[in-house]
Amino acid sequence: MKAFERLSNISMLTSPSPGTEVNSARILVVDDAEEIRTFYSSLLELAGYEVLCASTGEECLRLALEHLPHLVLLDVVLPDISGIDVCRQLKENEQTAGILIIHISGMLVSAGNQAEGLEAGADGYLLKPVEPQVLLAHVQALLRTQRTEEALRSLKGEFKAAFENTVDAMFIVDDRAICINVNPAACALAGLIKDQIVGRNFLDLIGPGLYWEDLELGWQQFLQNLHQNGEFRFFRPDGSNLEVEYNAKARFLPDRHLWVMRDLGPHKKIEQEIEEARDQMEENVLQRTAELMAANIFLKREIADRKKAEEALLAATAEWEQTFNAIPDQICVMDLDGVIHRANKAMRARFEPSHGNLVGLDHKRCYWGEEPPNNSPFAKVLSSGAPTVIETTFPELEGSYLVASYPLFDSRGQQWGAVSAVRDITERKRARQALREIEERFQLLIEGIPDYAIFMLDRDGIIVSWNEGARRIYGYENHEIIGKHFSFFSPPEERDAGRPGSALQAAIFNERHEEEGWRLAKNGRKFWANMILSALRDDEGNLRGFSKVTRNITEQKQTQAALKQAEKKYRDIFEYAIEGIFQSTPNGQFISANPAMARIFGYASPEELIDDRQDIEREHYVDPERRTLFKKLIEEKESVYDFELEAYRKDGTKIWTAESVRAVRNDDGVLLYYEGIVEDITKRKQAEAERVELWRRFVRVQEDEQRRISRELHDEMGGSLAAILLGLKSLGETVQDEAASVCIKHLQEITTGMAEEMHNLVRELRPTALDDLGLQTAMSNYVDEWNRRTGITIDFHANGFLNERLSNQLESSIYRIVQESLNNIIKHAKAQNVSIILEKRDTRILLIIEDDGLGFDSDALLRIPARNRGVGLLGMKERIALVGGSFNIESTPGVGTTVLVHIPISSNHREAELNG
Amino acid sequence: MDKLRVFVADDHAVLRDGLKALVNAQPDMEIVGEADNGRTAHEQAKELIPDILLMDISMPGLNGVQATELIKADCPEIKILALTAYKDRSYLNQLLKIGASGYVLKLSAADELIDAIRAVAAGGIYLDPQMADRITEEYVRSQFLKGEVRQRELTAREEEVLRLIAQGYSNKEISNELKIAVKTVESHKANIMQKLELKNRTEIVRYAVRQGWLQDT
Repeated sequence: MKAFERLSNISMLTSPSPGTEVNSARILVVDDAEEIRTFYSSLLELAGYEVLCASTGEECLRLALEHLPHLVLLDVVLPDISGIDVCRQLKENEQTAGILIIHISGMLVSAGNQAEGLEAGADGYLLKPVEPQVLLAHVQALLRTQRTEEALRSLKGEFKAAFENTVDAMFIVDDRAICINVNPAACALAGLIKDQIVGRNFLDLIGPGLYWEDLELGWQQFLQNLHQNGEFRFFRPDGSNLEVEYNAKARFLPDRHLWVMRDLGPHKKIEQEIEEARDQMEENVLQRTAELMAANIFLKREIADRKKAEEALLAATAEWEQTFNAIPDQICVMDLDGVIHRANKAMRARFEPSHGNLVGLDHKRCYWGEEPPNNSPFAKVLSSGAPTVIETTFPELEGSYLVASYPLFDSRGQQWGAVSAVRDITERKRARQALREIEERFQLLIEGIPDYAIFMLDRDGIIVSWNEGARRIYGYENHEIIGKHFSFFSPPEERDAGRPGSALQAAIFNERHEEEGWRLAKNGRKFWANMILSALRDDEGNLRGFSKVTRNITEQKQTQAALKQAEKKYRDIFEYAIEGIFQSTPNGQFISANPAMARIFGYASPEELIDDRQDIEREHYVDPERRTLFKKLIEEKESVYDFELEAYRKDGTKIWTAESVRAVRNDDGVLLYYEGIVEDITKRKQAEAERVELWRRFVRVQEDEQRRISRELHDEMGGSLAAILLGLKSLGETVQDEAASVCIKHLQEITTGMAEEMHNLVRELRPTALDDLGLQTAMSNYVDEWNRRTGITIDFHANGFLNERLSNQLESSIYRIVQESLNNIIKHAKAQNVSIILEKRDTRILLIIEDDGLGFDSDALLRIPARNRGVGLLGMKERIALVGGSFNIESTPGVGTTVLVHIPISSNHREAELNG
Repeated sequence: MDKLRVFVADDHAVLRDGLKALVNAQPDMEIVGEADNGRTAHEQAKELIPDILLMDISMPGLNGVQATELIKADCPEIKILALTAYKDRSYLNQLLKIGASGYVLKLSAADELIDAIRAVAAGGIYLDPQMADRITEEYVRSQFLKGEVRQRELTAREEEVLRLIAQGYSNKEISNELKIAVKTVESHKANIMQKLELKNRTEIVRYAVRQGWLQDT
């Protein structure tokens, strides 16, 4: 009766009234008392709920699993299992954990009983007798809360997914700049985990990179200006830094400010972050659930609490909405058909002008227009639920895009759609493309270097790539080499010695390792290679591999070897030569000398010689004048052959040496040093002196003999012939006989002829006039005779001889020189005129014989070794040398020849003057 | 009518005999003494004071030239006729300078000597005809040269070159001295010779002597 009354009351309470929602929820009523079960189910069915009933704990658990009711009205006291335990089991089972549970207790219970029930997970607690209004209100409130929560959870999930998955870093901070929330991208950007950021002063975190003079002032300005964007450098706590672009919005909620940052560098480990984000989200949901349950306990405060919660949720929604819209990427939430449910501001801004309201539109229309492809970047996430990140282009949009998609699930884990973010990476792509082009060009460059084999090795020394030069040098094909260890090219002995490995180690340690060695090409040709191994590291200094540059320097090596050999040859010559070899400076110091040089001058070693002789002119030359002459000659001719000089040995004795020296100059012609060969000619010199002495004696004997014969002929024969002529004259005057007269006449003629011949003979042998009348007279006679004989005009000028006689030897020498010169003129010159000048000047005699004949190249003649020049010149030179004179020939072809003779007059050469 | 008193000095005995025979065969001449060297000739001549002394130039000891000088110094009235084998004009000049009166080549003696003795005795000078030709030639040339005039002015550089040539420098030495090329020296020399009408180097030297650039001793 009572129950009925209650029911009728309830029907009034539960009848649907305009404006109230339709109660579509399923409710399980558990009570061991059938009466009560019926009462509750009637009441609830009247209110429009679907009602199930169970009488035991076991039945309750079974039905709950089977039908997944939205709410369970659970009697605390049950015959089998206690309501508290049933509640605990339901809440512990994942499948049934979401079911709302209201305990109904028939007993007077203490606050402790209530607490026990709530601890077990109950969402509400009612005491019997339960007033129908209270029960319905309670049920409705709980269900509404759950629906709101679900909707909220779904919405939050959407924003959360966007927030968590966007590649942009987002920081939500309060007025005091304390970080309230950050997304994984923000964590990745900062290099910190969320806990390290949340609660931290945002300005401390990013302040160092901002270009704000005063952080606090800057912050206040930002709060007033509401918007700010730009770039700054994000200094991460680990010391590294990133170039960051940011977009900040102040007060999107009264005490919330959003900072969105974009790292221009690569984003990392998105998937992991998403994973973490999902965990985080679930935690949050549970937490929020718990909060709501707490609110449920105190009914009076519940409405107010819920309103508060709803406000908070609305605030959260606004928060997410703002975040969503602040993201510069195009973000949309779509269902499994690809129909857009939500689109953020960036996406709307991009497409709404052309497509109108995006909500309800197939997302593909935005990106592909009328002809969407079957396999879009979004297809995978929609079909398989796998998060994807794809780089792509769209026919409707210019440029390149990065598409990140993440599936969306409802509370039951059912995918119902996806959120996708589309980022314009055209700039980045372009930059990367440019970089790639540079790399390609570089690659081409490397390929194009034919003389260098360039390998890229990985960290273990495996050949990853090589260039055309390498292929050419080694002769292998790509497939034979790529993937091989670089020691492939090393000779076995090097491999056995572990050289390749130590080379890598050296390259790691020193960044660069250079070595040379034999390498073998495929065709078996060995070549000498120069190899440079360099470590390749990334920006963070991690070893990525090696580059190896190999050059074939066999030729260089051979050239070097040849050079060495030549050097050695030269050294050997230098060391073992019999002649002395030296280099000396123009101011008189030796630069180098060979052992033979030291030996010649009596030194133990070349070093001793070089140290000891600091002034060649005075310490080396016996006659310093010779040095002056030497320098003059070498200045004129650049080189001097067989220059004879008397030099000191170490012990002070003198030796004769012959030097052949050349001047060594630099490119500008500046004299650097002399270089030459020295020969010890002391013996030769002695032999020469002996020879000269012999020659001198021979000449004297010859002259004496000729003089004797000449004298004999001239005086005796001449006198006899004159006497014969006198006799014949007398006889002719006394004889009367005609025949006898003729005979006498004939004899006179013969005698006269004989006398003439004898006269010529005397003159050639040695004119007695030379002895009797002196040089000038004898020469004058000779010249006249010569002119008569040859018909060549001859002009003789003498000066300084009339009052003074020279020595016999000197006079005959000069006479002979003239004789020989004139003989040469007859033989070779074809001259018309001859000029002879003989002068005595103080201490020397000058003799010049000049003709206007054919002439010759006098320099060439003087270069011919003396022994090849012919007896004429030899005779002249030797004769002049005998009397200590010098001799010079100047001749010009076609002009004539001049012979110049200078003879010094020593006191030996002077003899008494004619007149005492 | 005194006969001409003739003294013979010659170291060649056979020739001396031949000369004596030739002279003595002349009715107006007689040999008054003889010597076989210059010293004896000098001593004898001082005692005998012959009219004519036939002096061989080449004799041992004191030779003919020296003896002639001594005799002319002591007895200038003795006329000395030189006998020589040399056809030598400078020798001749020298003899004439120291006071000899004539000069006969030995080989011409048979034909010339008597005429020569007579000519010298008469106070004249006798030259062997063969020698006379040469003397004349030389005289003519020297007269010609005296009349020579400087044809054209030399440049300063040419005169410099000329002086150096005359002093006996070689072209090479001149080129070094004046710091000009050897070819340039040769060209200067050719110009100088053309301007002054000098045929050869000897004439250049003589020209220089006449200009007083060289001291002629």
